[in-house]
Amino acid sequence: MSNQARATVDKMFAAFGAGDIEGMQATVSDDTQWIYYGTEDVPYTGEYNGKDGVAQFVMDIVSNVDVQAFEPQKFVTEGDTVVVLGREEQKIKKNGELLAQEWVQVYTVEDGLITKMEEFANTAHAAKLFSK
Amino acid sequence: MVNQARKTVDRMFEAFAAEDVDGLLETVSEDTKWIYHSTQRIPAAEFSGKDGVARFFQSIFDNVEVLEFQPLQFVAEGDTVVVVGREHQRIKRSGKERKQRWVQVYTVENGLISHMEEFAYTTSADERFS
Repeated sequence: MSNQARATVDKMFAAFGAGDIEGMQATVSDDTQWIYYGTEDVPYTGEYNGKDGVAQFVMDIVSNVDVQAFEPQKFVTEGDTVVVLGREEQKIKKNGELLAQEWVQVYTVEDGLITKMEEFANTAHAAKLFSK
Repeated sequence: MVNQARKTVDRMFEAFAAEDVDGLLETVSEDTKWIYHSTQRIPAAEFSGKDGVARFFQSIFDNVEVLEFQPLQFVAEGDTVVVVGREHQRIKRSGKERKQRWVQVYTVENGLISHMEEFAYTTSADERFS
């Protein structure tokens, strides 16, 4: 049996990969809360709320970097929680620097919808490249 | 049924809480690898083997007073245990306090931790996620 929470997260990744923001929004709850733990130098840092917030998060990413690779590498699922470990490569638009880093995302899925996402990555490294 | 990998991680946390480095070392494999990804305040670091893990913990116990260390959430599947938590430390030298949110990812093989990766975010009273 494929875990229901995992299936929702997979759908969200498929939509993200296709650049389909509405498809992503269809996988989140109205009161979804997304938190990216970074610093002000990292332009997609902060708390994003609701379906509009998720769209804004994606806009903050794609308007500041070219995503050259985005690879979920491992999924750890228990009950309504899905943890995804992955790596990414982003070219920073304003200065051409290449940010390659690993990340962890923690999803909470209720009734087939993502109600919370928290992401952690390599903050000092990213901040240094963004502030060049 | 409690996941077997989870039991090992629980034992490690008990030893950590007691500042028992020998007890901690009993929960890791000879070739264990610990990777700490940077926060905006703390540089990245990598520690290998029991000696490396001993150095990692000794430097924590020497440099900070752990005021609070709270695993908030465990997610276990197979040999992997992910722990999301928070901590509050006082830096002994400066007396300054800092709070962190963190995620730790443990791989447990044959009852021993063979890999740990930690991602964290340092907060303080004047910052957004405190």
